[in-house]
Amino acid sequence: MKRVDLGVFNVIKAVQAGKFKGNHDLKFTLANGGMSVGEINPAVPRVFIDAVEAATVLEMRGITKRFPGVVADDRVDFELRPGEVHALLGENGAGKSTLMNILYGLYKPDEGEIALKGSRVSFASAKDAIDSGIGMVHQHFMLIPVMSVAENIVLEVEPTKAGVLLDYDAAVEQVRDISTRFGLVVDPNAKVEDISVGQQQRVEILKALYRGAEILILDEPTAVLTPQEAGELFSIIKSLQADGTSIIFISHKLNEVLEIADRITVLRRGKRIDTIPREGATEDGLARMMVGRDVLLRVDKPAANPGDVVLEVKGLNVQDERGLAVVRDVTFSVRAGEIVGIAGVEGNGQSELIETITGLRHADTGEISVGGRRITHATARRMLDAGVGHIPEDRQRLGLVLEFSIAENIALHDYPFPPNSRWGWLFPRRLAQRARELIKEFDIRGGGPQTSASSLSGGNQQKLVAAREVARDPKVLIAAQPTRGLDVGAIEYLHRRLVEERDEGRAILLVSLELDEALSLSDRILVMYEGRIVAEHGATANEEQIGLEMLGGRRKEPAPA
Amino acid sequence: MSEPLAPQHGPQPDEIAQEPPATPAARLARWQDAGGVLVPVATGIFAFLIGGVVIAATGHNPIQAYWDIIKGAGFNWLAHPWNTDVATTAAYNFSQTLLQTTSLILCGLAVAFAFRCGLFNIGGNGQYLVGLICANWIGVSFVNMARPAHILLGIAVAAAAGAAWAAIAGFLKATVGAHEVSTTIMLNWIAYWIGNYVFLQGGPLQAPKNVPLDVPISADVVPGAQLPVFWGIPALQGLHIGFFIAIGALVVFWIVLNRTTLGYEVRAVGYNPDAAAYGGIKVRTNYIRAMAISGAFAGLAGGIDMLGYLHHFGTIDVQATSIGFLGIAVALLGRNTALGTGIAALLFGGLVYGTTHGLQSGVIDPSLAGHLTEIIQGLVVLFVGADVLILAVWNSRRKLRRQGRVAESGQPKPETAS
Amino acid sequence: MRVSHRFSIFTALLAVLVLAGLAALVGSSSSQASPRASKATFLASLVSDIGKFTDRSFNQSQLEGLKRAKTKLHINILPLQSNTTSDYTPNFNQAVRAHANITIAAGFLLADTLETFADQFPNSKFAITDYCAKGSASKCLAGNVLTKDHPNVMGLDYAANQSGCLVGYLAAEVTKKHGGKQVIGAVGGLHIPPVDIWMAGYKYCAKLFNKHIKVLIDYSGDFSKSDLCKTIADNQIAQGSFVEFQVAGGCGLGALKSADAHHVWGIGVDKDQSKDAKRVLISGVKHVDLGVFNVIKTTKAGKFKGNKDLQFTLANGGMGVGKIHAGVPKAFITAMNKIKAKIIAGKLHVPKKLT
Repeated sequence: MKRVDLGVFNVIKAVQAGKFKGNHDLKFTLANGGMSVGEINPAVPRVFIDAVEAATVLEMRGITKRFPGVVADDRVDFELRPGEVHALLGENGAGKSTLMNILYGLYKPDEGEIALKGSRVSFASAKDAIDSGIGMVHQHFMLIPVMSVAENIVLEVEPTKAGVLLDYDAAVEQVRDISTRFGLVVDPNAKVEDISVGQQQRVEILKALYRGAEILILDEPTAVLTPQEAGELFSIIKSLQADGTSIIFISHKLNEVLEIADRITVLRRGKRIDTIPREGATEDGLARMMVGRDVLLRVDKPAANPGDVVLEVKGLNVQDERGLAVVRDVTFSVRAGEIVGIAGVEGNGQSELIETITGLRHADTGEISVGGRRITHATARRMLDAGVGHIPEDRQRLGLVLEFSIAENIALHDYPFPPNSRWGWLFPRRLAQRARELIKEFDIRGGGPQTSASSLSGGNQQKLVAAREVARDPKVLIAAQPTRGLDVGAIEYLHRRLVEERDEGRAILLVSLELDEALSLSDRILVMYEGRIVAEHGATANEEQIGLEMLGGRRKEPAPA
Repeated sequence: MSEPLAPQHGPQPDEIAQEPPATPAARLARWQDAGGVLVPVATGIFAFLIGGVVIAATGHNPIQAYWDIIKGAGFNWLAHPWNTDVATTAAYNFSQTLLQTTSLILCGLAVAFAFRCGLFNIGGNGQYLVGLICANWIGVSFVNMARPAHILLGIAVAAAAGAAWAAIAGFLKATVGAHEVSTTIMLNWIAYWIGNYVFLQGGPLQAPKNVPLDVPISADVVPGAQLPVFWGIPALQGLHIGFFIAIGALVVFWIVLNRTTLGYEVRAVGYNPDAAAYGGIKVRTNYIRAMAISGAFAGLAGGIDMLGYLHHFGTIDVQATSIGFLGIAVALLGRNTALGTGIAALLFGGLVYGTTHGLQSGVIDPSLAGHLTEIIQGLVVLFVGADVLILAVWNSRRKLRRQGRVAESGQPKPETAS
Repeated sequence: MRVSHRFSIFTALLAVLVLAGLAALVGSSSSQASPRASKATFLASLVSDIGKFTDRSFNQSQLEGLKRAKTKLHINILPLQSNTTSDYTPNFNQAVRAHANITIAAGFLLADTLETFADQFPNSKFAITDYCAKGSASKCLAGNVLTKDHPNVMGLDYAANQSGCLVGYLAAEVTKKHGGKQVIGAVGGLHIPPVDIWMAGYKYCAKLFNKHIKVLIDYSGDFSKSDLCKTIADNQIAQGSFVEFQVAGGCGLGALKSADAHHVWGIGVDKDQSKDAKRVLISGVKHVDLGVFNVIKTTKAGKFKGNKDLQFTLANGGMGVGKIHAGVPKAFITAMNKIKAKIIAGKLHVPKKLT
């Protein structure tokens, strides 16, 4: 195809910009998009197309981005072929998001260049990137909850009536069109706040497609999804791929990368380690590339040596803010030296159960005993003093005061006691001293005692929480989704640590939404469904059986299309 | 097609926390981190610039006007500080600016302390009035008391009254969840009408004067309860030792927040009440306590103003009192820190005093001069409130510069074919 | 945050240094500057109370008097506005330091401060509106007397009761003519002498010329919030009041609005308020501007008499009435002028105190 239209456009543009150069030519080649080919019959094999078209749709060369005190990306090369799913794999802080934010025009690289379909581009803003056919779905969605799906999708590029009014019907129609074309089912009239997270993600994807995205960046898309939703997302990705969209898939989860990606680029500490095809890649191999050393993916633990009952919960009933029963007649106990796992699909009362045991929520009936002493009128303070440690599931909302320094966060429970304070006087130096010890012991990286918790990476934030809880020498340690959002290195560390603490004689209660984790760590497993404990299993539990019980004993239904 | 709602990425690597902070205080802390010391300085300069435009719009020379304000505030005294004779205008004006600063520091701290606990104390004015009224009551009673004891009693009661007044709002917040902004505003009005009542004819603090006619004004605080003046003449509203009390309060504020478990709790609750509760901190108790401490600062301001230089008060004075509201602007500009509040109080003290007493040379109409203070004050509150706006301006400026650089490098964006 | 904290301390120190530097510049230029007024010319200063010069009545009128003195007497003037209570002393200080030949306090709120300064600066001359010097307490018309004898203070004494009497008469007369309930009302700002003296004349003369009339008197407790006075006037009108006399400055404008709304009459105060509402019967006018002007003129002529008063009455034109509404019958105006003559002749004594 000879893009004569482009030639006319460009020469007008050049004149307008005052860059008309007489006695010179404007050259049009494949490189600058002035020449190209038309649509290729689907019957033509992919490899041929690759050979005919420029082999890459996107090429990033030598991208370097420095932030004060850190090189986020160090001469990173990245290339994307048309219609491929290319996974960008790396630990938290490896530079994945920075690289993609550069591609999306949010950051400007300090060095390096980006070529799109063979021509150099430089994006000053996300708008430029979108105009060039790049779409990005962030981890945290950028949707307006009170507006409808259709309104969100067409936002800022709305079809209008009389130039000013939103033509809502046309918007709905367009959204229907595009959603059937790509096979992403959404209800255009539903309000975003009323639909599930998985649906919201589809809306984000549609938003990018509506703006003509040919390259779609998905930033850790499965972090917020349930396993079923993740499955649906993967089929969406495959259909988009079949449609010719190129997809960059950012992740630190090895299994999903192996499931969905055509090629995998691994980043470590801002450097590109390698780009490999999926064929022949293994979890162990990828993990080694990510972390830079061998990683123990399976928990290797000796048999438990349970002692006395340390935590005992009897007949516990809890209501939520709306007065609905969320924990129903729960009874169980945890012994010293064992890990008891609670498995279940999110929202089946696990969070409320933990909050009640840690004194953050009031029980309606039932009793809780720690170390044989019954605790009535449980408050957070009483529970802490009784020896309950708690690694909460939301470390940023609950586990840490992000604005506080590491030292202050470490003192979050024990600030009122010596040596942290006396007679109400705080001793910041002793706080710092303690922080230095724990930073060393728990290998918290990214700062000293006075560094604010918000500037730590997710893994190190979690280490900070774990350090504080473990260092208090609790009788019972409650760990709620302790590895959520962490990379393999940090997960390995935390698993090992939990087993060590068990072997030191602590009673450990583990809540995990990932059945794998619950199974591999726990000595006993309780299954929670709709607020009740519906089953208990020993260390050698059947995964499928538990999976069934988590869903209320029904057979797992196939995911809706 | 314009830019979609892109995240406000700061210049940080990948995974800094991007959760929306929970409280206004946390939001403020983020903002402080983002803008450092630059933003309040920019806020101040911006407010003064627009104030200058207003002056220019009235047909006066803004630069001249600002020089006059600086002189009116007595800042030129700093050029020859060895001359402390208040018969010279500069020295007198500076002593008066410091007198204003004294009250503003304390009223600013009253807002700042609550803010550090995530509470917005709009009730500084009411707490100030309550403290002032109580100090007047103590000051006109107990005529035979020894001076130090009388002064201490007056100050203590004023602070306690302010504390109790503010604690009502804290208590309502902690127990029934009533928002402190509404309750403190209502408490302001209650204090206002109490003040109206106590000084009216027949009111408990009104002093019958000029028999047979009398006025709605209190009796004078007895000399034995008046704060000693260390700069100037007592009769000419000299600078009293309350100034040092205010400076001391700044130090206490800093120490309490940073060196005590109480301050630790306040900050934890202010930044993240959920995490504080998880840490074993009683959030509700802290709401009440932080409001009480805030109120104590404002009550103290009222107390030392009464014992320091006002000595009496009247119904109309109650109606004209607004220093507690100025405290909000002081605290916001001072970023709710001790040092910042001190500097902002000096700035506002100079502004309030300087516009009133520097601009009245017949060049600028006195009524305009009075409004100018309010305009600049309003602009500061507006800009501080509109943090997003300033950061947006800042960011777009950066973007423009970036685009400029791209253009310079002579690489027009290629039109990509599709 | 730590780092930025340290940085902020540094910046603060820097700011103080810069400020000091600027101040030094200003200081060096201003230290050679001569005092504000050279002794050759006459300087008159006026200090407002916290009603400010923008109050559209009391303070503003006096500022007009000061400005008139500037043009007519060719003097320098120094108007000083008090925005808060704490401005009183600095304002007097500024006037005295500027060697003002006369410093006028705009009202009774400033009496305390004025007496302090009169003591501290015996060589400066002062005057105060709405107050009598102690030396002439026995002759005082308004009844507000300073606590001490000051040889450098003159009182400016206004017989507001006399004007109050005239508007009271007219109010009673139109009510009688209208028939119905014989009730009139007055809305005061505060229960203070300068307000009550108006009411005293109003009530006395209304009753004198209409025996059956009932005079309602209430106070808003405020001089600026017009809605408060409107509510009070609304209540009085609901009780049958046919004329509303406002003695509450800016607040009282609400009473005039209320009279408009209920189609009864309003009466203005201090200055001619016939333009401030539609149904203004008349205004009781106190020429505080004249007082300011006269005391400056007196002082400039070397006739300042300390511990004495300048009196302002119907007789010398210091008190008067404003524009009378066109709907008022001629006969009433004639009768009112007769009463005025009687007061001037000393045949009718109007009380100063509200009873």
